[in-house]
Amino acid sequence: MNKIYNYFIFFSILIAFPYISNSQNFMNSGSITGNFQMDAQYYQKDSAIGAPEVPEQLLMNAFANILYTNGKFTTGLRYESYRNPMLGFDNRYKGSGIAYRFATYTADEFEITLGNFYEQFGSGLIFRTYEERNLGYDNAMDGVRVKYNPKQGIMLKAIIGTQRFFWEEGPGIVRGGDAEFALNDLFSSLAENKTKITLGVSAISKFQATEEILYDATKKFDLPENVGAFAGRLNISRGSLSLSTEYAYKSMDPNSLNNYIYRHGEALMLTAAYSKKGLGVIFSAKRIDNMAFKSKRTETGNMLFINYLPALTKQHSYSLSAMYPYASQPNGEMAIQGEIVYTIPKNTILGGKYGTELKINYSRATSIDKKALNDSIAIDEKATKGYTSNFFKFGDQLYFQDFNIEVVKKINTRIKGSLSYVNILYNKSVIEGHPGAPDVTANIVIADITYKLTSQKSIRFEGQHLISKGDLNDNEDPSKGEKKNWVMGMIEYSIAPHWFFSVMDQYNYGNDENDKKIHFYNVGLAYNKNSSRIQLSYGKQREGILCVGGVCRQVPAANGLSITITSSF
Amino acid sequence: MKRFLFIFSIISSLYLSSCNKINEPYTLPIPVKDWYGKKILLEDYTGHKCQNCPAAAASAANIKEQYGEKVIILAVHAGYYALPSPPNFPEDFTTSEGNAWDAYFGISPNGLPKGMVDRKGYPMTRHLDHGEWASKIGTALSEIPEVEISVKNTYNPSDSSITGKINFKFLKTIKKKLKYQVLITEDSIIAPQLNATTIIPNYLHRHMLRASVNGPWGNDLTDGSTFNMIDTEISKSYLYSLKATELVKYKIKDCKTIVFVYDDATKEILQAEEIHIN
Repeated sequence: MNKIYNYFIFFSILIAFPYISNSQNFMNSGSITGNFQMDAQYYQKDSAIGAPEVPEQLLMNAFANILYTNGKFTTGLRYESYRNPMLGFDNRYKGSGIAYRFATYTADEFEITLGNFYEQFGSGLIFRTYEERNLGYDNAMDGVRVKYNPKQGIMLKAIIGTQRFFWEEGPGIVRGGDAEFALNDLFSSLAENKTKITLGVSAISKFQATEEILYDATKKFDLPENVGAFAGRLNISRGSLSLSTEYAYKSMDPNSLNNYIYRHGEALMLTAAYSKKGLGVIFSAKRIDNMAFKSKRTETGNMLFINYLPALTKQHSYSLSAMYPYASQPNGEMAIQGEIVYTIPKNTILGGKYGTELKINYSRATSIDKKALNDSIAIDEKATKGYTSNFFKFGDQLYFQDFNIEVVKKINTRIKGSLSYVNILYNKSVIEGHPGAPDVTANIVIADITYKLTSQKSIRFEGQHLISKGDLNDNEDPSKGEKKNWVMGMIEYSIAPHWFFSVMDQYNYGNDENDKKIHFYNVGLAYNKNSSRIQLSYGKQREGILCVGGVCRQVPAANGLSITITSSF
Repeated sequence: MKRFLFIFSIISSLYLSSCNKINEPYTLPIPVKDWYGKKILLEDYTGHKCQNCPAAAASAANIKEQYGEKVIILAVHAGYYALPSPPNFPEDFTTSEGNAWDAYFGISPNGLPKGMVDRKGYPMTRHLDHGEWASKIGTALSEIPEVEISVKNTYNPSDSSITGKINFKFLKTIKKKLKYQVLITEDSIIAPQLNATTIIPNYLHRHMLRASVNGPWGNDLTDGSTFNMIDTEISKSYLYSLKATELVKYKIKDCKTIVFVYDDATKEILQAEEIHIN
């Protein structure tokens, strides 16, 4: 294995800085770190759950990151292999190779990166590149980044490059800059002030050569080759209170996602938080209007997003409460979210010996107000300004609503548990793009209990029940009934620090169709040693949607044996 | 430090000014392009339950209207969105050839509508959103063709058979393994189609792939081991019975054959031709 690692390091350094290979001392004094993950699944056809036949039978996604650091110099790469991509991942990933490589050097107040990098300006409304392996999402930049920190309190960044598109790069050049000023560090008169203020401004411009996209048989769209976006942000905190806000504006950017309208884009995010011992309150609001910003104007999939529009909804981790996740709507949405976390103090009636934690969360996302430009132009009509919109008005269409409450309680030194209730309203026609499908309402109750048998052995029980209404078996055919009720049970047994066993079953017992009352069972085991882990599981995976931060992918039904190996050094 | 700040602010202001303002009517006339005889095959992967597919079909219709017989359109119904769902979508417009291409090129799993222009871009960039079609076709049309195809069909109504004669002529000396494919299409089929949020019961399905005369990957034209000299010709013929595949129910006047030649190594289509069955 060491030979392989050495090969990677040597190769990466050869790519990045050929002259370094002559410097023996340089090589000897650095440190090498890295990690590896492989997910593979052996698939079996299962017509009952809709799991397709996989000609290769076995599919695998794997990657390894190798990082070499020596003082102010860092270089690294990520080797990826998809042989072939697992079900649910875009098959344009098919192949193996070095998908990410970079070298960074810090000198004086500068930090210079050549090659690939991930970066974010503010909350990402105009620029964020990141990787999320669970989604198969990677919009890494390939180019140059310069960070400049001329004095304490000022951080300037400039970037230029193209974005990853599977094994190629997108056609647009993305360039921009960000400046952040921490006023309390910058001005000595504010150094002792309890109110901390940070200001930031950023700008991004995308260049993509014009192309022939037909408006009709005789005309093509007159496309802007340069699309600009800028954003300003402010963070203020004082004691237990904090407030942060960011506003972003994008110039006209006709593209496939917005039906080639010539309207500007806008986004506003606002978050206010209060926290003290035993109590945390957070409130967020956002407005997104025509903010799909990509480095390829015809791309409709998840790739090549320049910006990031976070979902203001709770990301549920239990399987049944995560069944109806929200996907951000870049063409327009208004959303609010509030959360209170309160710990009922120890030695009170409700608090008991250890205190009781209470979490209440509410979120709601709707459309934005859209009005036709005039009587003869429909809303979102191509090659027009699209629509007019009242900035502060919520639209008529409810996209998503979630009210949930969770009580976390430690009973004694051996037992702790939590009880949750979740109520979700899910606009399937908008979120999943199934026009005509009714809204889904879901009520979910979850109990989670961990019992510590000894200092090393523990057992965890999870019980969930979901009652849904409106979730059709076939979105185009209501006569095929609804999925209705689900129940889920799981037992996990762990022997620290090495072993882990689990048995799980999800059962759609309330389905209107008898042949769809299916058990989605799964048994698994994992073994850990130091920083390595191997995990095996066998069972059925139901079809669904997986979302991380409002970005989603379809997870197809599957049946078979999975293996995951992770390791780091 | 001031100098750096000064430089940074200049760069920042350049970024800020880097956006183009377009004025109404936001459209331009399409320029006329040179053409040397290469016909382009646009494959539109579609399905009757695909809500954005009518928009893609409209793009294809615009392209057809603009370029006429220089562009051949083939609507391939494949993937989940093409599966029948009675009672709203009772018909099965999928074909085994369409399914085989869909699986090989991995198109419908990544969402429809998607298309391919002459199957260019091996192995990655075949999946084109319909907004990209016109641009790719505009570029491909000005290429100089390597092969010329002429097709002559004779339809025998007594036994519903088609006899076809195809002549391939090399316009350039090439050494490639080439294959040729013969397809049957039917135009103007009226059947339900989902469009955005509504079902159109009497939607006009255009240029639909109905069958292949010679399987999903066709027959060999050249073996690639020797040079095929410029101006040499190869003739092929085929006999296809519509009865065998129950295609007799199709409206013969709307049925056409599409013949194309492709490079087996890259799957790229080098030339295509389309003519009526009779």
